[in-house]
Amino acid sequence: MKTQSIFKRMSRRNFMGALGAGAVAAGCATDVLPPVTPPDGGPPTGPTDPDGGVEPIAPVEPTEPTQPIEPTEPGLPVGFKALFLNRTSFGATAAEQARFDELGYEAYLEEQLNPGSIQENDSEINALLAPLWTLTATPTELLQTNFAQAWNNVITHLAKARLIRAVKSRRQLNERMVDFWLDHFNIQAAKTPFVRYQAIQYERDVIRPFAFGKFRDLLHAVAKSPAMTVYLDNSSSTWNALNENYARELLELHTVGLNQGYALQDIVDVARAFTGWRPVSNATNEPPDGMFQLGFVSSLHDPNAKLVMGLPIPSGGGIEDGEAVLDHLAGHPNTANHIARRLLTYFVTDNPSTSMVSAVAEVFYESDGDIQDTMRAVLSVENLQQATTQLKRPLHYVTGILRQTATTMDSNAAIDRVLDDMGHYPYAWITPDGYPLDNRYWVGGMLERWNFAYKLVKGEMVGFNLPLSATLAPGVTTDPGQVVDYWNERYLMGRMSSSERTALIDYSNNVRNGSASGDAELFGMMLTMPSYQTV
Amino acid sequence: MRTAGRICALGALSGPAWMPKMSFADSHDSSSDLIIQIFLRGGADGMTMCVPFGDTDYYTVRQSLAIADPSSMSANKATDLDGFFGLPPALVGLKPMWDAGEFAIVHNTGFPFIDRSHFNAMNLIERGTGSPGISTGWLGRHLLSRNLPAGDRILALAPQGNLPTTLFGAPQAVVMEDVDAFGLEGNWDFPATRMPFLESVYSNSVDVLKKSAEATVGTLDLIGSLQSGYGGPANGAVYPNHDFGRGMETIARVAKADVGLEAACIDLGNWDHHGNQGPISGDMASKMKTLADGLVAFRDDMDARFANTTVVVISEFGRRVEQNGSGGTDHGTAGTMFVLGGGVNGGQVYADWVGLDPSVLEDGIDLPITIDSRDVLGEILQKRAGNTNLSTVFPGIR
Repeated sequence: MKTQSIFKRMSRRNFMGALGAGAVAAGCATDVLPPVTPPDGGPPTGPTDPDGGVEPIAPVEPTEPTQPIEPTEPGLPVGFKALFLNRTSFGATAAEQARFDELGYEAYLEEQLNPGSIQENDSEINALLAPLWTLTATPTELLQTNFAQAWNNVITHLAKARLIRAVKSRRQLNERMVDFWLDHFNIQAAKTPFVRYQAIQYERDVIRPFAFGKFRDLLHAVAKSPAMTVYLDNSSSTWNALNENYARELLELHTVGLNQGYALQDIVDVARAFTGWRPVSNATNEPPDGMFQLGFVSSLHDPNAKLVMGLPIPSGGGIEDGEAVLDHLAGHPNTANHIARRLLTYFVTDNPSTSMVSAVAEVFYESDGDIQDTMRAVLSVENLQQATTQLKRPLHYVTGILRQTATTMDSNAAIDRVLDDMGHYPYAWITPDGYPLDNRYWVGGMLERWNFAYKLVKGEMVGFNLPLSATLAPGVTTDPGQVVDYWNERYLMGRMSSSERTALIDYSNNVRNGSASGDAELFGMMLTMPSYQTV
Repeated sequence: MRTAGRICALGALSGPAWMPKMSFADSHDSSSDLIIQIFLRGGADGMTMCVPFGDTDYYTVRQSLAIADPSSMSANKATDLDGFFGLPPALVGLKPMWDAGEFAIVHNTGFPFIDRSHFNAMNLIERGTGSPGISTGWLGRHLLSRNLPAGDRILALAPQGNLPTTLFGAPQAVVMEDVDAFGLEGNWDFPATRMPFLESVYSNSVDVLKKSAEATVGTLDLIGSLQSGYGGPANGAVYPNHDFGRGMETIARVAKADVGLEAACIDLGNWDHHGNQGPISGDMASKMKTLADGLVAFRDDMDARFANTTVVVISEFGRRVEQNGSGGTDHGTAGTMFVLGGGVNGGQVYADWVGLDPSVLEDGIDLPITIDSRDVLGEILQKRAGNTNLSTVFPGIR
């Protein structure tokens, strides 16, 4: 177990110093002063803010020590287990809850942060993935297949595979990270046939291997992925026909954040640095599985000198121009802030405080973008104690029910259509910002959620079978109060409110026959309640 | 600086020159118009949506993307609107509404201080403010300020998968893609008992969930009357077979059911034409055609109710004046807005066109924003929706 780094004392001085250095380098202090990127990623807080003005970063008290995480299990706050497991998984099974009880917070987190150490549920996952033939086909093979067949199957298979892993994987925090990164580095599979066929490789070889690695490596892998270069049009950008799309989103979304230290000229110079980066596939340059890979076409590259956020790039460079930009951005303190805020928004709270963001950003910065170290900071007891109630996004809600109830799926189970009905189809978000993290975007879809639960418990979802055993309360009587309490512990880890509890018991007594254990409709009612819709 | 001096009668009005006065007729009854926002996500190219053929520089900066002058011999030329601006062929279906005075265009408009970021611009336009402390949408705040008495109604509708930011904060706002499919499903023993249960358990939940559940259950109460006896669009209107067309039909259907609808928001996506823009026969043309067909069908379907309807077609920004090397356009600043409805003083392009010379362009490359989009939206709320306190909707606006 790797506990040392949890207690690592961070050198705030260096991090804050780096922020200052960045400002000097860019030659415009007010532009670079950090972040305070707003919670929903939108309102401007930089100098262009028409109404709000610049909100400088709150100074960090120099005397404030980094709090070591002390609480051992008895000391954990009330409700912490539910909070922690709901944020680090798509819905904790009985086995995962028992594992948490056994290991305790720190060791459980370490285990999840090292997904390779967890024996994966391979037999079940592989059996479910087996019919999804396009996942193991090469683009060449796809192109040789009936076009329409391949075209439709790729998208369905990708989506199903994603959801199957979210439901069945024991490496739950890893699945949550993959979900996070796929939004952070969003691609829309339907943009072009090329992107669609490369999306398989994108998730498998670009996102998943780096989900807990170094952000720098992840950023390079994304930048060099055929899928991203085509999705954001870099593949058509040349020295004499510049396309700014990738350059802009690289800065705004992938790294430093909106207006955090760059201006239009920086975007142009970033775009120039990446000219000539485009996918290639040829005999001498072909990856093992026949996929495309990034190539560099020097005749399309702009070799003149560039200046990107204070980084001078001398003339005469080639592919190293873009690589230098990626390295500069990966190590930029504003990137640390941006990633920290995004992670905290996803895992902890809609509106992370400035000090919370700074603390996590510092870990990110000092660890050279180590995602494991950063996640230890994100998921600290202190941070989770400040967590706000968040609506599960549809993927979280649906996969949570399926995994907690051990619902079985056969090859007819159209799990991807379920997500489509809820507006959360994998790889379908058009724009590069990824599916929203904002609760309010998702609240309109309550009816679809309720109906999924209503149909599932009645056996009306084709291909899905929610076992009766999930609705039983073994070892207790059929008394509604006791059954509801059992369910509360088992599925909600105690989050049910007293008014919800009363409503369920009343429903059992007044509408049903008062025999709650095994009552699928009553169980379905629980799945529609606010406490099950939220974490 | 070159000025196309044939804009609207701005000089006769008080206020700064950039402020449009579209002279919406005051709504003739005490209730509000139905206000509809159609959001073209991705940054629709305003110079294609409303072609400045009268500016010869247009044909220099848009070598392969320009729409031909109305006087040209081209089969794909612009349709003249006022001697300077024209409609592209894909939007020509809107010309009859233009001629009928029900359709106006605002050019060189946008939310000031936009920075060519999709997400920031959408956020600003939809929230109607740059203030970080305000996270609700402009239409949401307007509807909240209506302060209507309790009672089942569908006050606001998003006929799509999710609630757009513009409606954040609105009471009685429902997401409903398909009227006929809206209902509690599952073959339950006592299906009707589910609604009081939901009302009960959501009444104590966090505010956003509570509001959404209330709106959903309220809509379920009304859905029977909406579903029964629907005979399809009126006047033989044919909506495009597209999510947008179906959404527009849903809006008309709910409006005609008299369930209190005052606002609707619908998205039409994918206008981010960095490459292969296709203003004549490509991607953008097909999107514009869908937009025009949907609007024409909606107008026909709404019939007399169109007199009390105001439709705003808006996008987060316009695109770069000069086309890029991929046959597309990069992000720009000012764009166009369409305003349609019975109360619109239409048949005019409201613009303060400064020309395309780099010396007058934003950063030398983009159309400057000469009309604040909030001024247009504010005027609509004031004149067509009875809002007497615009400062709660658009705080800080001049």
